[in-house]
Amino acid sequence: MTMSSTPRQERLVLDYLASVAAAAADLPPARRDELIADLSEHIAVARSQSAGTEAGVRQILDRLGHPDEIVAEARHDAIAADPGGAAIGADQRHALIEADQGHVLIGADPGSAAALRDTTGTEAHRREARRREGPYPPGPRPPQFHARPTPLHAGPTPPLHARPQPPPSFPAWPAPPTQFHAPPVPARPPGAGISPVNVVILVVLVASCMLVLFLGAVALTIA
Amino acid sequence: MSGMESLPGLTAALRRGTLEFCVLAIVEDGQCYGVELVGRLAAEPALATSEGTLYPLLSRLRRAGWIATTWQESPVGPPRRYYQLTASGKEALAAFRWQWREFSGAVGRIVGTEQA
Repeated sequence: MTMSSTPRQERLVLDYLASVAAAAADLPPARRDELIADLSEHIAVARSQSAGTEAGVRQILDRLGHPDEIVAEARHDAIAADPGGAAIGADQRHALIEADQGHVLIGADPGSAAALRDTTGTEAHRREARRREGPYPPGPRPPQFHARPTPLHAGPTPPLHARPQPPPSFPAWPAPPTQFHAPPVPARPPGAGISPVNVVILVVLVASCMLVLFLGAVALTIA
Repeated sequence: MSGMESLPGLTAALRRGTLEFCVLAIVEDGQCYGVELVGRLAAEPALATSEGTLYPLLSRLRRAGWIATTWQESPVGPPRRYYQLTASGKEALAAFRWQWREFSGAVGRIVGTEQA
């Protein structure tokens, strides 16, 4: 950043991320957190490369796109990644993809066709409308793909020949510091647990036994 | 082809299932950080995609094990996450290239954009 950021710029960024979080309220928490983390990182890196003006921040957010659209993509994925969907074979999946897309394109389902229509073509118009409306109004969300009955058609899940390896766990954010492990305590040598008090008691006991034996011997001798 | 209206819904339908492989192809020749990667794809008007919508897609590719990420310090600004192609991502990309050639060839021959 060539100029220090102002509270106003921070506010723009926070409002944007809050809009994403609100739109993503129904996503699985891990997905939502991951999305917010990815977008925060993008904004931080992009700001470090921009002029550091408010217009620059607005441009970064504008290029990222409307929160509802971003979340619609993530939501679509959350459903497509359903493990039940992964259980079907590749051929079957491709058949579903074809059937699904054909179904939409011929307009048999007006809702789905509208959803598709809404995601293309008029982007410039919608951006202009948004600019007039102000930052991310909480109005009705655009129709989303996930409303479709067969959500098995998307994503990189269709393995073309090799099944992808089990998903690596997502490294949430810069790795947490490795935990400090104290070195194991060495085993105590045998006998090390005897305290001086125990020694004194032992000595007294032994001495008493010897005294009793001695007195017994003396008594026998006299008798 | 400028001045021609795109058919409603067609871009979105074509993008589904192909955009992932565009990502794999971009990181094929070397790692790329997020801002760079999404900027490059969003700069293609024909793909009609915003930068933000690519992050769920990247997350999907990561979970599928087709791309891997590493954090690297940057001389300017915060650390950046770099994306690289994995071995299984490489295989998937090779398979896509074959299938796409077949598919687009067939469509091209039928609709007349390619010689029979």
